[in-house]
Amino acid sequence: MNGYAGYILRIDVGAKAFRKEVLDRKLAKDFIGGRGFVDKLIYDEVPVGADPFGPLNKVAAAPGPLSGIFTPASGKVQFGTLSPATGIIGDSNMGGHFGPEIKYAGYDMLIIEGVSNTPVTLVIDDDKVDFKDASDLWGKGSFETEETLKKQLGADFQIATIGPAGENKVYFACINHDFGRQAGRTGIGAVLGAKKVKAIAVKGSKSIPVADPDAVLKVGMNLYRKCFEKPGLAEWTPLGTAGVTPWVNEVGAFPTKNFQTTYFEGHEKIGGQAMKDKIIVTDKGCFACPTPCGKYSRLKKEGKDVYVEGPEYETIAMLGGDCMLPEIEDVAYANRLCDDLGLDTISGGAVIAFALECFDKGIITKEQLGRDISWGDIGSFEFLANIIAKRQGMGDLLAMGTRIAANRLGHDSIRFATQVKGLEWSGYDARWAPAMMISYMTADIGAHHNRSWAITFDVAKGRDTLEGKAKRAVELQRIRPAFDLIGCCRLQWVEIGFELENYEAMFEAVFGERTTWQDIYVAADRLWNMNRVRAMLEIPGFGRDDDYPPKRFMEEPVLSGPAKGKLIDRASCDRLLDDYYMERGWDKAGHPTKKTLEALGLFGCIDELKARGLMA
Amino acid sequence: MHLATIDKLCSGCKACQLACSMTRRKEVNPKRSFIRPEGRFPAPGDYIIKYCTQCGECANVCPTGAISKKGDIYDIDEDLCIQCGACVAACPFSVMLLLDGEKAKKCNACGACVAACPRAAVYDSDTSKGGRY
Amino acid sequence: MRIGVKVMGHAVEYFPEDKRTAWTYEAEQGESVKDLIVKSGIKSELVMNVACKGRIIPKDTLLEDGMELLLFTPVSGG
Repeated sequence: MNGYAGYILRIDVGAKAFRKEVLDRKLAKDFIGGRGFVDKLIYDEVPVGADPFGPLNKVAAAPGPLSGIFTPASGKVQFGTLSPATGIIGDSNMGGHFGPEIKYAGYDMLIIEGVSNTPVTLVIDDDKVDFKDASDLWGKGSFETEETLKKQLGADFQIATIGPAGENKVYFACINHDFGRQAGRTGIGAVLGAKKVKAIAVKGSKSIPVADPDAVLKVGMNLYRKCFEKPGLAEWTPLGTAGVTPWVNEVGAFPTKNFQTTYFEGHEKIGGQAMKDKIIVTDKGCFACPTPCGKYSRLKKEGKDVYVEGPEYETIAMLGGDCMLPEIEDVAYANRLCDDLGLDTISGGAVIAFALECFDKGIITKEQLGRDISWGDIGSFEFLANIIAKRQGMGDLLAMGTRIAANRLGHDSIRFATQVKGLEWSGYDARWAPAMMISYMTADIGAHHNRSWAITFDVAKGRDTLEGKAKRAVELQRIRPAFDLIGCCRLQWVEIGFELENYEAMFEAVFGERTTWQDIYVAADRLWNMNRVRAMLEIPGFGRDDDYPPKRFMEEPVLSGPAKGKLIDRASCDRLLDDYYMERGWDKAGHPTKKTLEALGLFGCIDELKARGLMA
Repeated sequence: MHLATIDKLCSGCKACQLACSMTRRKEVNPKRSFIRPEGRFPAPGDYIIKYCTQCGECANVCPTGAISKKGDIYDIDEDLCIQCGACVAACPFSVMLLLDGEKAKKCNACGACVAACPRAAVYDSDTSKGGRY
Repeated sequence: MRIGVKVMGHAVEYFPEDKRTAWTYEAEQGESVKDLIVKSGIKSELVMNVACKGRIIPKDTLLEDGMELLLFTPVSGG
């Protein structure tokens, strides 16, 4: 099949066995690849009610049909699992070079199942799979792990690792790759840790079949050329995503002090310009990327060189603003700590900010921690990150994320647990941005920004009006996830205005048949609805109640800055939800209607809902 | 065309390798290309681009004289190649390619990598131009 | 004064139709970059940064004849 390697690799780490399976054409047609493949795999193969850390859960990793092809930024890979953080399907993507390498090794998806008795590194070298003992790496940081494996296996292996947080099943443990790229969200690193998989190393030597190689070359050259000709390519790249920091403050959306406010005094000291002036040593591109947002940095800590990729915007927002770290060196050091321990910087930042606020309010005490902690103090941050990753003392509870921690701690701390569906809210406050608010409320994995980044729509169309906001969120939830299916990064489209039409010429050259974005949007909608149904099957009563933001965003006005006094009250959230469900073809309870599921060909979902009495 | 590089511009994206393998082999396979950007991480955090400088080391060691200078480049006469691999071992930059069942192949300075490099890290030293400019 | 303007990023779709790629702005003495943005019918907040000769410049910079400006819209959400 053109664009696809044609096979799936299934690895049972318990039995130390593996099997190569032919890629199902119908799967490719209906779900395209990437996130479509991994979420469908979890939906089909992990039984409802399975323990995320038990032997029945699986981890899948899939590039997309354009991954590894001569197309701008075709380096994405998607991971999926039944998430420990949310209890529903969780997925997360990363750039770097891991996804293309899976394709060159001959696979469109890796499936990891079972539980190993002892720590293991999966070494995939084309058709061979080795189960390499990883006892010596267990407990080691992700940087040391990757470095050691590169030395042992060879520099041309692409390696994904987990840190101690993954080993210790921290609900927001990430997967690390290439000394600084992460699949951070929904705790997939913890599921790998439960399976005792310390690392996955892949090397491939194969070619990816395409329908018309001459056309791929010609179209590919043309796409790069078009990127080069975009005005501002040279000016955009130097700061990467960190460049947006001042803007997010100017529009009053920068998470600050656990979202108590949305403007961070002194944000200039942690933004992109400060990075460029003080710590960046090189741009670090993902596979085939013409506009590398990746910045690699070096700083001095206690006389020693510390290296880190980043910080990128989300990390700056969540570790800088939300935990109030005042200097770019602090943010970069905290970033490095999280990466090495294997903590997602978004949830990690949110959890630490939550803990700091609990401490302020006396909900967590000095006696419990054995020390004081304070906002903006890198020592406090390091202490908390360490006890969370190692699950020591209070860290054991915090390691389960803000929702569970708040429910156990009580004192109405759930009000300021900044999460939806159990996944922590990422780096944009939405109390003055209804389209962004409904985007966060309804994102399928929980409060994540990348499904729909709609804040510019709010700014353009009026930040106080609710009109048309849910509709725009649905549109973006179609376009942006479409990139997750094809295996490309969407930032060229967002950053330099690289037109969506450009990709369609490549679809035709690769697939040999005309494929439009519209075709992919249908698959994106199919996936969206399938994930919603799975959540209904998984969690009793799942629906509308799971789509509200934390009370803080509905009841506590922003304290300072440009958005001072703003909030989106519950009635407004209801209006947004009503509009959203209408646009999606869901009922008022937030459940997809039979008609909607039928139109998307999700007949299996209908049967399962009926079998459980969730659909008439 | 003479290839030249500025390592510090490289971001390790491998677009050069994709363009090379597509152009020379009509295959999507960066492993089968004649240029190698190599990252050095976690420290010092930089890239080195290994590419064919047309230095002629391969020609010096070829036992059958299959490799000779034609104009600006060293070229392989496939009829004379006995697939011994001496050129691969001798190449200072690891950019010779000898695949099973094939004759040895090398860079002919076609410039595909130059055209695709988003950073002009590999460029044409005759014109001092990269693909981006 | 004639100022050359180019724009970049996804949010140009929220700009007036004739302001989504490039245009020439006829400026009056004493006008700033911000004046140019507003008088071109663009919401100032939709411009994240302004670059001139490869450098980011403040929005209150005074316009000069022959300037070539590049307006960036906000970017994020990877």
